[in-house]
Amino acid sequence: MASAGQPLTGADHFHLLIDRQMRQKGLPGNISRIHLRLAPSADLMALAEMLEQNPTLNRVAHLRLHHRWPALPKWIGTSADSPDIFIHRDLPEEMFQSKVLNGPVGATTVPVRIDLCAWNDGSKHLVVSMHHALFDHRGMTLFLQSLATGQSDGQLFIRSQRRPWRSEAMDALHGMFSALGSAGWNLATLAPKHLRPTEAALHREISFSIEDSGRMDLAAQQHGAGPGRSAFYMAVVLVALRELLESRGERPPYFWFPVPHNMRRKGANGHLIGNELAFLFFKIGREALFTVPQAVAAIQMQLNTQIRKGSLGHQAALQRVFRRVPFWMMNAMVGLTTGGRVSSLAFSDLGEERNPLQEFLGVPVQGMAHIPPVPCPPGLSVVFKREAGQLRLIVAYLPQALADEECATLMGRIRVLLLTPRTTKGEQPLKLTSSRSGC
Amino acid sequence: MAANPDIIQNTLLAYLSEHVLAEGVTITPETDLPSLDVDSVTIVEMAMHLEERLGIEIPVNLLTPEHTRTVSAFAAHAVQHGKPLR
Repeated sequence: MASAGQPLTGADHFHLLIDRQMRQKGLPGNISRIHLRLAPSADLMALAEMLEQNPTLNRVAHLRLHHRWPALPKWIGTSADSPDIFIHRDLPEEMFQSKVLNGPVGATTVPVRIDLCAWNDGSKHLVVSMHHALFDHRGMTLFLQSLATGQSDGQLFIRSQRRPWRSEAMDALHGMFSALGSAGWNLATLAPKHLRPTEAALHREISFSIEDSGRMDLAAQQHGAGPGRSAFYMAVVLVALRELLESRGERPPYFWFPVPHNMRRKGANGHLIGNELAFLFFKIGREALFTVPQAVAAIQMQLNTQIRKGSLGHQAALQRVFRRVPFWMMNAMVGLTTGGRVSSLAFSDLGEERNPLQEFLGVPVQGMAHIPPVPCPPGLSVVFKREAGQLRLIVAYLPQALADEECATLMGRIRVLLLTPRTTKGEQPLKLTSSRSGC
Repeated sequence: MAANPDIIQNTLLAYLSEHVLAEGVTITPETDLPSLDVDSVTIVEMAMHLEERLGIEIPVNLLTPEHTRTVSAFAAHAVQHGKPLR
């Protein structure tokens, strides 16, 4: 890191904006967490001592956000005490949810924390909580690997690149008009108007078998999702959300949401700190959400159009330029163009993890869950990821946006749609009579 | 214009080296693209690049993971299904 600090990337700064909105609503912030279920033989004290010595954890835990407008926001190193590592013993499961999975992490306080927990049923757990302004998903994976092996190698910070200001400004303008210009005030949302969360976010996860994941791959191809599966996952989620809103008696005209895309160079580990993301924006009308093939086609068309226009580059430039804009102004721009709704949902497809973590500092890992932040608004985050050929669906939500029973219905419906092959009649609506309690 | 598989292959390899892959990562026509984390958006970008460079339109929705596992498989698909841009 340069002595003057490491400038945040445009995507880091975007995550700070989301963090600010969440904190204003009383939520812990824009924090991603990874929950590992460890073997019951794990010695939590020994793990805490080893982690305390981890050089990567120490470097990251001592970073603080330094932001004095109009200068670029930066990460600066501090000489703080030991990293935040907490041990909880005899913890009831419900306390784990409210205390650990909502534990505070902040860009200006401590950006990472680790909780080692022994539940009162004898099971052992480890939660790594990370501020999203520091890490994209790849960075989180690298950070976890570094904690799990005790080794730190590779590049700590992203390398900054300078671009000619004129092309940067033009690209940013393109990005602003194409993204915010398409939003409008009538976008679908599960959240009530003026959502003010009174309870912590919840999350649910379905892990599909390898056989079911293979059936879903086939269904994605049959539905015309092309080389990837993301368009299929998005289509299924949107169809299920439309049905859910209709069950509430609502018929919003369209869904509008951003989808992050990993802009890192491929084939190498790359840097640890710094989000390298750009967003594609989708506006899918209700009329395209009656069948999955229709929805896939609409998503594919918008994806191709945006790639053809170079939208990812425009969005990346817009994010970089926004680092010079005060937060209140960004908030106002996003709020005004979306009628305060911000987005219909937060959606990510994290891709495939080919070598899921098997051990953490010598302790066998029995399970791993990724707990995404729940931006507020919209109060709903849907994440897909694959681990060694198995698909996982994670839905994180605020209870005021989605009731528990509704979440069960939504996930059950997503499951059914993911497993439904395309009918030979193609555009015929899929039957909606399948079980709604499949999760 | 008849689609020449060698030209398509070389165009894709050059695109990947210049715009997609990290410094020092080498690629051949048979390199497994998913193992390099080449994702579906990048595949669509590759198809658009062929369109722009060589005037070949590829129906992206017909691409399957098998067609995009390697550059040579992608090129073979482009030869078979690509159409000259109107």
